[in-house]
Amino acid sequence: MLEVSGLNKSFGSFQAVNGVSFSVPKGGKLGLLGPNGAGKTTTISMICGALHADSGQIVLNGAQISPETHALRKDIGYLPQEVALIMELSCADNLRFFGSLYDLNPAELKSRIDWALQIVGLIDKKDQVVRTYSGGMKRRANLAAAILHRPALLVLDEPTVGVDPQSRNALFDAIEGLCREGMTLIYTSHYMEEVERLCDDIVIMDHGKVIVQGPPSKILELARGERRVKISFDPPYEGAAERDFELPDLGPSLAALLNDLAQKGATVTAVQTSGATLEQAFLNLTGRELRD
Amino acid sequence: MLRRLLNIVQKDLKVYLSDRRAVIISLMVPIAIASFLAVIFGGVGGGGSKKATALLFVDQDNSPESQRLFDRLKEGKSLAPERVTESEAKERIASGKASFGVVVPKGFGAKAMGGMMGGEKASLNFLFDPSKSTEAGIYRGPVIQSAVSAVLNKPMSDYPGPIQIESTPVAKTGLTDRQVTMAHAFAGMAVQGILFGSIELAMGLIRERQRGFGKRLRSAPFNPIWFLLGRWISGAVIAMFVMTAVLIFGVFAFKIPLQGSVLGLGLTIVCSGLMSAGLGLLISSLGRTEPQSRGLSVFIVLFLNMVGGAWFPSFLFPEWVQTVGKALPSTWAVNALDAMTWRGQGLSQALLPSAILLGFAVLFVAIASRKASWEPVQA
Ligand SMILES: Nc1ncnc2c1ncn2[C@@H]1O[C@H](COP(=O)(O)OP(=O)(O)O)[C@@H](O)[C@H]1O
Ligand SMILES: [Mg+2]
Repeated sequence: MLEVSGLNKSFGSFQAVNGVSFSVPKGGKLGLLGPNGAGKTTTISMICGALHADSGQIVLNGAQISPETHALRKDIGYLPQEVALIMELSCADNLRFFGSLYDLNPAELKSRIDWALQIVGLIDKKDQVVRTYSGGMKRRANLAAAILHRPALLVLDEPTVGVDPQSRNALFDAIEGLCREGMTLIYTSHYMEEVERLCDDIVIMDHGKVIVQGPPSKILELARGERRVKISFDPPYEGAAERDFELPDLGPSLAALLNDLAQKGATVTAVQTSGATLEQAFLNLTGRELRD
Repeated sequence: MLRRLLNIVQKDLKVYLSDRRAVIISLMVPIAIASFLAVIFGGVGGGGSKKATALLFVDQDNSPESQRLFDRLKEGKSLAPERVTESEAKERIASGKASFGVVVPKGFGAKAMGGMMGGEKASLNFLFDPSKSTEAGIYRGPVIQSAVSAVLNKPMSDYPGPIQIESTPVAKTGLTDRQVTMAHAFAGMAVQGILFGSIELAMGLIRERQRGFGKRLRSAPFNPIWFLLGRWISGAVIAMFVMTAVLIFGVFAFKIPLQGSVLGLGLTIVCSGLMSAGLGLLISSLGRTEPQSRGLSVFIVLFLNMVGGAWFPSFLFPEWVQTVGKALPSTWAVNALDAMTWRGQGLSQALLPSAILLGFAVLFVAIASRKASWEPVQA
């Protein structure tokens, strides 16, 4: 469905996106992951036609995309990183405006607005002026504005940043619902859990480059070798009530460890494992913490 | 305590200095305006290069004295007399095509000679456009001096002589000076108001582009130039609303006379609105950041208001500034409003100014749409 190849973009002498390539099949859910400044927003701005690429290709359903290929953008729903709403107007008025950009007829528009408001859970607050919304409600309204025209490709730029936990869950449920309906998704984030939960393919970016692309299992594979196990003792063993161990796997290695500890006379009261996370994967791949 | 204050001051200064172009513009604006005024008002004293002001000369006397008066006026260089009939003079002044005139009534020459012997003083009738009463006061002097010199057949002097001069404001219908002054002020302020509106429009557009909102709009499935055109129309409607409101207020509170073509007034308002909104788009395309554009826009709008005659009577300016002033869209708008309100002119007198305002509007929008930076700004 979407094919990005050799994408480059510089701001002055600074290269924000450097030879980025990846692809998303129809119905695919791609997580675009990377620390702040990795070039995620710049990349998807080019996909959404809001920014000119210096070079490289973006092909959507066989057609090449640029800021000049206006009509192709009707298949894309774009949620910018910043809230992009008209603060002076009500949520419903905002949605009417954004919906009107996609040539929906009035009846269609009305039902789409109700549908979108339902999905993001703002139907009760739809006549409230957006300025008075909480940060989380604004982000939800923002998402509603992006999906009104039922785009085939939904591009979300850090939709849960700065969102309270309740709104975050609502947003997340909404996105999962949309995915079930078969929308193709590009989901930008630096929250591991979200991407892990939602995406079937992950691209990790840093310094404008793609470091790795693959399904979560492959990314986890890459992260392996550092499975952490926290073991608690009572009474303390060698003076510690708990200790961290790093194990190559949680099968024989863990059994051997527990066996060994028992033989040394330690009384194990709890074993807490943390499976390989994308955070660890990122650390392994780049040697950097994700949120630095 | 002091430290806290210093920290706050330091923060603000850092913010100010962070946008170098905006700093340069913020310095350039007052310097440019001061230099401009210095050149203009410095030039007034030198005076020599000023072009003579047209003076419609109505000779009902046809005497040697009236002939000499015409010649003296011509020699005087500050006025350029032109022979016309009385009705033509009144028509031209009332419609704003000329500003001043003098009527030499029948028997002027003979009476003037008698006046010298201690008889009744001869009088001239000085005609003026009531929206130019300040200038009228200045030009009456040379007229009376020339008249005395003509009657005495001697070089000009300050000798008061046997001549008196009456002043008659000429307007379409018997309006008082006061009404005209107020009506003219309202026309000027209505135009000034929409020009300040252009700054607001420009700032709003720049802010919108900088936020994610602009990016969101650019992802809509059509050419983003439509957003620019939409802004143009909405800005024009707002400007029309402002202008109309100012004029309606003037009509009710100050009895501003609406004696011209209503259609012409409407046309003027529509075209002025389109022009000022177009100017707003143009300004928004000039600077990259809000402070930069704000500096530029203040300069542009001040210039339009100052030279367009909204603040200073245009006779204060040297010839070239007056010439430039006549070409400015703000001047055309004020003149057209004058014509359609207290001057009581017909629709035909609104056509040319409206066409010119529309031309400016289209020009501004064309430049703005070519230069509009849809890419996000880099500070
Ligand atoms: N308009 C711009 N002008 C200059 N630099 C920019 C601009 N937009 C982004 N950048 C820079 O490009 C890099 C990538 O930014 P971005 O794509 O927003 O990263 P991410 O979304 O992954 O956090 C950053 O270092 C950022 O400072
Ligand atoms: Mg980003």
